[in-house]
Amino acid sequence: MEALLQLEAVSLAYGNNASNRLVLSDVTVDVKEGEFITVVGPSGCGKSSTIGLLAGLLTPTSGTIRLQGTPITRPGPDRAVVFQDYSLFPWMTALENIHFALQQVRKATREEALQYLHLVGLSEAKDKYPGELSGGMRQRVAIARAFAVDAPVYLMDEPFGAVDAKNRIYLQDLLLRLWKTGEHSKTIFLVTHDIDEALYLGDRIIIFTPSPGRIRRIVEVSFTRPRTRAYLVHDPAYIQLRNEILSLLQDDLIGELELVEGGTGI
Amino acid sequence: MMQKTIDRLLIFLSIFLIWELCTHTFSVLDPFLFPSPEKVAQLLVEDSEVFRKSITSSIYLLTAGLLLALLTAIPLGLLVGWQRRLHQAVEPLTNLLGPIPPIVYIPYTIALLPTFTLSSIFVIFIGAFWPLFINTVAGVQAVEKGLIDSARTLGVSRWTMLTRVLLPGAFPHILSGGSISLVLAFILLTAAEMIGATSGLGWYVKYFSDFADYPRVVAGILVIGIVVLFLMTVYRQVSSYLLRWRTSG
Repeated sequence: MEALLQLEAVSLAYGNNASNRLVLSDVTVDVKEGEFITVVGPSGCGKSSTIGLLAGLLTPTSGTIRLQGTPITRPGPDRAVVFQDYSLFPWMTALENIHFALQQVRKATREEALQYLHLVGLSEAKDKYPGELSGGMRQRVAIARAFAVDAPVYLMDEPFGAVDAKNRIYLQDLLLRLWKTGEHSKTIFLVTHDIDEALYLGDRIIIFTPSPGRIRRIVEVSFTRPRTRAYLVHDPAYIQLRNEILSLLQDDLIGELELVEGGTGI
Repeated sequence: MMQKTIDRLLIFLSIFLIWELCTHTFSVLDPFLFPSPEKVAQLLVEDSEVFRKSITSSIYLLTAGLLLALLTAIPLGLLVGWQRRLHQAVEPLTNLLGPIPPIVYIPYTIALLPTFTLSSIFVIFIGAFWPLFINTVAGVQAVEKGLIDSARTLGVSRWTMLTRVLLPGAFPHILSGGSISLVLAFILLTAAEMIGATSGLGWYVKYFSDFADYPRVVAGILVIGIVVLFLMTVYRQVSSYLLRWRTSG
């Protein structure tokens, strides 16, 4: 089966010419249709930049990114994005934000928009402006908005970072449900800093090295679905995998620390 | 709340009292130059029909000039703020024309345009245009990049980007530019009326000062103050409605 998303030797550098700062280096990965990919890595490893590239907001310095064989050059409604913040328009109410997004892809009534707000348990906050909502509630609206547009690909940049623990569990399960239901199978690319989240949600985990971001390893997560948290955390295979990822990330962090130490002579 | 109202009333009353004592009661001030409150109140009633006509004529000019500025400055500001290349091309022109005090255009426009009405509308338009335009450009550029990215990922059209994202995003700047425009427009209005009009609030003050009728001049100034206060109050109400999403949170 051909890959839905193909990243081929993708590098990204900020700034022009000599003073380039390399953010991503030689990233190659194929994502199959319907796959749930999670991405972990130390901060500043280019996780968010990868989302920006897939969304078409950034252009790779070298390499190509293809969606169904066609190079990605600009944002499009075939890829819904949930940002860490700033997803919602502050001058639109929760409902208007979702309705606005829906209207960009098709004709839609406010009632339809309200259904998606109901899905994330916020129908009573429909007339509230983002400024009146907590960080967690804002993020739930952003997720509802992303699912309202019903895109084949979902790009999520730490979507649950600002959400409290209880709502995070609820939203993770909701995400899995939405991923599986729907008419077409969705492909999800989710960046997180939470290893448990990556393990619970993902089919595969991409582990990045610190800057410039390279793929350190891609880990298969073969636990059967639906996964149950309570069993999972006691599963020796889970614990082993978790430790493995943790030590990979720690190695990188230690490597980074030594580099700084050597460089500045502390 | 209650305290604030009392304080304000006290200030008003004491000024009124000093005015009354200095003019009517003790006649400390020259009655020719300083009319008593009674005299001014009497003139406000006596000339109410003239004032009504003056206000109508002034508001007409003001509205025409401001509307013209609104309809040109905001769309142009949105475009210039959004298109980097256009902005770079236009910036020197803006820097040259923007700071010219619009009052200096008055004699020229009177010569240039066939009627006084047209020339004053034009001057008000110029005065109101620049603050609105410059602030719209700045407002568009101040819209969070994240919000623009968010809109782009939704696949919005150019038109939608301008009208539903950049325009509301720039509202805080546009509205503060608008209040400068409003004040400037009123200054230009009264200045223009003093120079060439046969009606209007500025005309009223200038006309009676030519006859050394200073009680009427004072009454006219008072009416202008009240009109400006009223306009600014309405403007503030409209602004806070348009920015209601910002007030809370």
